[in-house]
Amino acid sequence: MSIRAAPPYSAAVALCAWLVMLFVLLPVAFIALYAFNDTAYLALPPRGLTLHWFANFFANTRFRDALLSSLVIAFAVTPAALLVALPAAIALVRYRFPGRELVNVALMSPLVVPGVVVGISFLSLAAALGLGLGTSTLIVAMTCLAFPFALRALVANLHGLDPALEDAARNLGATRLRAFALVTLPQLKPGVLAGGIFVFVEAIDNFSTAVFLTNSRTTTLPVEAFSYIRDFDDPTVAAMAVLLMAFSAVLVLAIDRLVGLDRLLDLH
Amino acid sequence: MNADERRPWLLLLPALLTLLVFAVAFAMFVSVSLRTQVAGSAVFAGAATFGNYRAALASPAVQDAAWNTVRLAGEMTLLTALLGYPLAYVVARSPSPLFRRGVLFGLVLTLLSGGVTRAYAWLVLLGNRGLVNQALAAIGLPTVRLVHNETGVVIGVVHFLLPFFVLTLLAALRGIPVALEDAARNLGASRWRAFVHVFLPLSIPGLIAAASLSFAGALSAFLFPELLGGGRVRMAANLIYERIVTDYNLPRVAAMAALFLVLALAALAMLAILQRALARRFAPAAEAA
Amino acid sequence: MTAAGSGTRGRRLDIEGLVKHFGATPAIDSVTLSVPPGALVTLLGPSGCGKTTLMRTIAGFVVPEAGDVRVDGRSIVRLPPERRSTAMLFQSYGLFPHMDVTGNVGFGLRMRGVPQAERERRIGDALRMTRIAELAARFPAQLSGGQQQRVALARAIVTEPDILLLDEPFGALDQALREHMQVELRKLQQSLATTALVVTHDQHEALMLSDLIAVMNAGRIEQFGAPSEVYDRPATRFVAGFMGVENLLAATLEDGRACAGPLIVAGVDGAARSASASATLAFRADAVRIEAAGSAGSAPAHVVFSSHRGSTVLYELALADDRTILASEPRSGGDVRSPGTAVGVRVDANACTLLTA
Repeated sequence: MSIRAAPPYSAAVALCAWLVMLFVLLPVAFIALYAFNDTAYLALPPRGLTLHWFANFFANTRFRDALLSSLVIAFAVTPAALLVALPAAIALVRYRFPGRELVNVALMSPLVVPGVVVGISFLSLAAALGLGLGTSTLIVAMTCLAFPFALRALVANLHGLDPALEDAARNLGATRLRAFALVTLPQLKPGVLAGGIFVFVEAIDNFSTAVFLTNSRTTTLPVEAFSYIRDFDDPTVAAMAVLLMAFSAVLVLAIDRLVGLDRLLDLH
Repeated sequence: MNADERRPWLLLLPALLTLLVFAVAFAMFVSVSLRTQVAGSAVFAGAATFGNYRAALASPAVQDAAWNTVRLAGEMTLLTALLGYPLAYVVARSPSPLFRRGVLFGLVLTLLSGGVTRAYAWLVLLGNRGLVNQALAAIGLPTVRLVHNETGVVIGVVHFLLPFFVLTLLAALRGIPVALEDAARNLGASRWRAFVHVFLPLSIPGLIAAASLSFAGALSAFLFPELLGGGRVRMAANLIYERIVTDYNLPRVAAMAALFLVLALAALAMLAILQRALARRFAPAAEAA
Repeated sequence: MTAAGSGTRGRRLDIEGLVKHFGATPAIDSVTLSVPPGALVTLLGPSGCGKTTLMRTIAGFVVPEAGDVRVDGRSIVRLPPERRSTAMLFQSYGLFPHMDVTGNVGFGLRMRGVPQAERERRIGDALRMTRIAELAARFPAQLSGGQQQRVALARAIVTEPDILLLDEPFGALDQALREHMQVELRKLQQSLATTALVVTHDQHEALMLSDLIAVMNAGRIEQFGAPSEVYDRPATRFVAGFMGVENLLAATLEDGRACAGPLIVAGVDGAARSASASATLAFRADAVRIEAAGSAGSAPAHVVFSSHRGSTVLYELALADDRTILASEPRSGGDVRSPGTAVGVRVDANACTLLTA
């Protein structure tokens, strides 16, 4: 409780903070404007607003396929990553065993490896096993790459929970599994949400690994957008970006409603 | 092992299997880097050799890329820290919950909007006919080349890293008790001196942690140099990609990638050691970030 | 470091009409208080009564909406915290974890630009005064709670402040250490003759340490006086309850007698000249005389509950009108009265206070 006469920073520092925040939000705001722009190049003030570019995006078969692929991958990877991370988080937080520190570091290691290295690794693996490149390879690669996000969020969440509650439930007659399901799991909502969302976003947005594992038949949204940008100079990709951002805005609002942004970010 | 001892390992099984797949892929990649590719085909022949590594280390393109990567990553991290620290500080000490929530909301929203979106936005914003140049032209100033060069890449990556940096640093800054700055002011320190003598030293472990994360991200930068660099900015990841696409000499490229990985891990290890040493000095301040 | 008589003259602290709201609620509701030079005044009250806010206002962390704070007649209410000479000992001690004890204690002197040689001398004096000279090179994390508190104290006094502010200084210490430190603090403060203000919710601590006690409730001072006065003659129901007066009975006043149902006390101070016909009769448990049932001048009652309190026995007694009072008497050789026993109760007029508020 520290209601103060004035905050401990001067107005100049506050201004700096505002400017940085402006810098952060500028592209986001701008892209939204660009997507509705009447002309293919940016004219400010915009001469007219249109949904033409959105239509363009959905009319483009390559984009449609890429969108579908990305969604399929993301919706496959997210539950997979969570299912892998949840028992691991429990093991790391609630149990003591030799080698725990080492296991912790090992499980977090995919985060440290540059995306291109992961891409090449799976490319090599696919080549060695004679598997073609495709959605399945991408799903496997993304799961391996992204599950540490889920693990980190779940571990942080678990740390804050009182293990005595499960004991109390068992004392009252619940089996180990029921005690977990009825007592601990409901309290893991923030961790599951935070972990799930970061995994989902990574799966949809990943470029540096995906670019090695896509080909003419299978492509993801970021990869497709990248080649479109190379060839065309119109706001269609901006329309795609707006769609993605609208989706994330909905996600953020939903998280805030369900769990509170503050709480979620303590888990970051 | 009895049932109790077995249990954590059973729980870890799925994760360890996933890690195993990752490790196998990685092992494949390392093994490929030790083979030689028969020219003009996709077949590997010959015994294991370090030839690819020798070639990579000797290659001027690789050396340039390595230097550029470290140099640019350093610049990006420095800028990110310079911009992100004041923002994190203001949010940590702001008396207005509305401001705090607004900033958090904005940061998370930016984070979730993805890399391609943001890289593309900068491409258009900074282009010759982009927003910035249009504004300059309106005032009568000459246009500035902000994209298809290092400047654009640095701006794009800094913007990309900022939310992670601020959120990580913020978590650490919240652990510094306000009472300490109050105590300093009570003892005669002005707001600025209380910041310099008390807050800043105690924020250093958190700062290093956040900077390490940013440095790791900057090192691996791929999309931004690719999109915003106009072919002129070659960081390690770009070089690797370019070689795969043009050459498709997988063993050669794998060797380069392996060296890149070593570089990245070495840099991170050094930062981790630095952070450990600093945390010991300021130990009781907060839990390790 | 100077001791009493060689230069540190106690300063007078005047607080006048301070008002501070947080949102709609008044945290400080027009408080006026004068602390004589060299005195130790305690701000006593429950949590939320405004005592910490008042202390932070004096230190400069809270800017009041109205009112003044003056040291020796000089107004300091417009000064930022770092320009006031009010050294504060925070509840959490506020020791800088990245500096050793010497660094912590010397911080205020560094801020004031005191040259190194003199700094070292004064730090040494302060450490000796607080009996932690041997800890000079240790870091806060290596110290026990009691040691940390001494460091915080040394840090505060080394700057020779006009006013010493202590915010619940003993809250974090265990019982035995607490009593020891209370004595030490009092002796130190007296030898320095520095004016001091202590915030606490513990009435025993307040009674033990203070020259004067200000009992606070909901942002106002309900009573300000010497410990004996606050203890023996509480001014309001709240003060009485907070100071541990066990019995507060609604009573009517007739002919100079206070009648709390069947319990009648004659000759209570103020009963005769009281303007209103009703008041609260306040008396402590140890002021109740338990006599044989039916003895002259006593009100009939019976025992409801009894409990051992070491050297005393505490009884809950029900009067004829079913109201209960608490009575305590020293344990004599005889048996404890069992529930249901009929007794007679009498209360000494000198031990009673009449409260209108």
